[in-house]
Amino acid sequence: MEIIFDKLRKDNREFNFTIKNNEINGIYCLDSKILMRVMHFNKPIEGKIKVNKKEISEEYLKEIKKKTSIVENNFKKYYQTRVYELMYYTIIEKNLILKNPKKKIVDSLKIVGLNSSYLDRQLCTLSSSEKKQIQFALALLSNPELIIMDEPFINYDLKTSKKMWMLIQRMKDQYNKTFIWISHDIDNLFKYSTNLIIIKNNKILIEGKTNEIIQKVEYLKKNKIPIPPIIDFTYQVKKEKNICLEYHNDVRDILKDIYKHV
Amino acid sequence: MSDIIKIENFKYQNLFENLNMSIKEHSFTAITGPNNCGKTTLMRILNRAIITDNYIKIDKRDINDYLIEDYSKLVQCVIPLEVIFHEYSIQDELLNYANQEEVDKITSELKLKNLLKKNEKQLSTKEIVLIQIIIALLKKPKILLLDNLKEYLKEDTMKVISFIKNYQKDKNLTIVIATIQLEEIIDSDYIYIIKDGKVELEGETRLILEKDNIINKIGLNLPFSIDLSVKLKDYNLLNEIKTDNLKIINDIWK
Repeated sequence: MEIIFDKLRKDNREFNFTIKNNEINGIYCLDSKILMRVMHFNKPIEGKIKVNKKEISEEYLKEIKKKTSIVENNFKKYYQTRVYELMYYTIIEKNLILKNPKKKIVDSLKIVGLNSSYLDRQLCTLSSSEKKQIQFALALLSNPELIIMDEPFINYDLKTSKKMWMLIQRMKDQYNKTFIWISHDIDNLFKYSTNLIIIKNNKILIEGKTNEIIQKVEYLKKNKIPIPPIIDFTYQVKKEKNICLEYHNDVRDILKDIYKHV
Repeated sequence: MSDIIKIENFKYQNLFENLNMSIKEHSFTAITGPNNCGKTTLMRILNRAIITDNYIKIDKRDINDYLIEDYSKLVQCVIPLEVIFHEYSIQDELLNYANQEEVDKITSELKLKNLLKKNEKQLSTKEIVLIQIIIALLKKPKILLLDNLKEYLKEDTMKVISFIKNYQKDKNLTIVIATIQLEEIIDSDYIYIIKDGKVELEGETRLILEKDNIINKIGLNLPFSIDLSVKLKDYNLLNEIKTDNLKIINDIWK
């Protein structure tokens, strides 16, 4: 799903950017609240939104909303609820027509790596990483084309984040899903997004392919955007010692590169 | 320094099996570990939000022997967003715990004076967590427990932690911080890494962070500069662990 936000105004802020089809679209911003409100496609919306090159009308907007799922950051509202009830409630709330809702709930949990014993767990007994996984499972119930994630990976250890990344990659490559990933976690955005939009003071500072944006460290630094330490290291080596290392995402790769230059 | 928190052979449901910890008075101790190892549950247990059998001693007394009001003077715990505000404005809320001068001082040091006239509903989640920290500090506890701050404080996490650390020196506070992000706890004195219900690794922070292979195997991510300098040290390209990229560069290419 390709979405073009053209002079979209919300809460006195203007957004112009393009969400690329079948990519992991990272959006770096410090205040995700307004952007998440934009992503809910809720009225009033000023400006134009084009989805798959078609301008959205009221009817088309309803269709888009059905094809979109949002992985929220937290669900403090339903603190005492059991996982099964929360998921069943989501099915009703989203008006999803399912032959076998329980099977869909169990399957969604299974996709994110949780077994059916979680159905009886109260949300308040879950760990922070389990809550994030449940949020992801909730988003999968409607089999969406577009998945919008708000800070999805902040609480994961190496094993769980690797597992979840493999899931996202598989969904992108095999099932043509499009992802929007809103975060302040610049390290992971540089590491995993394929398309990157950087927002500063509610304005788009830069947008493009992530591997092209990595080359523009000087510009990002000038605009006080944090740089992942591994990227910054390569940049500083060039600046201080005039030695050209390649940009890597893994410390072992940079180590090999250093070894060649000492 | 004597031990202020002592946990001995602690068992709790399926989560902890023979957990042992001794946290020194006035220290900055980090508790970390992979997902679902029980970091937040341990914080809740130490805050007596979960009542358990007698395995934990604070200030040489069993935690269940303290009266509730005495215990809250001793221990304050910040678990993000788990807070109830009693007053309409944040200013009135904070005045419940300290006088105007103290409230002004701490809010101006953290540059949060603009929040005083707001109410709970006008705050972002980050601001709620910051107010939670201020309330905990104003209550002047002996022990401050902090859980999972980075998710909400985002880019301000390190700034807030260094503020709390300076505060600790002035007030002789003992800080226990639970997190999965190791960059938050580089400046801590001692680390406990919990896995499979017990302490997998413990020791002085600098020494523990050098064990890159074990830490990765446990499932934790070392901060880049430490990870790189540990590996460079193994290749004899660096003499000591450094936390600053520029220092590493100047040391490799002298």
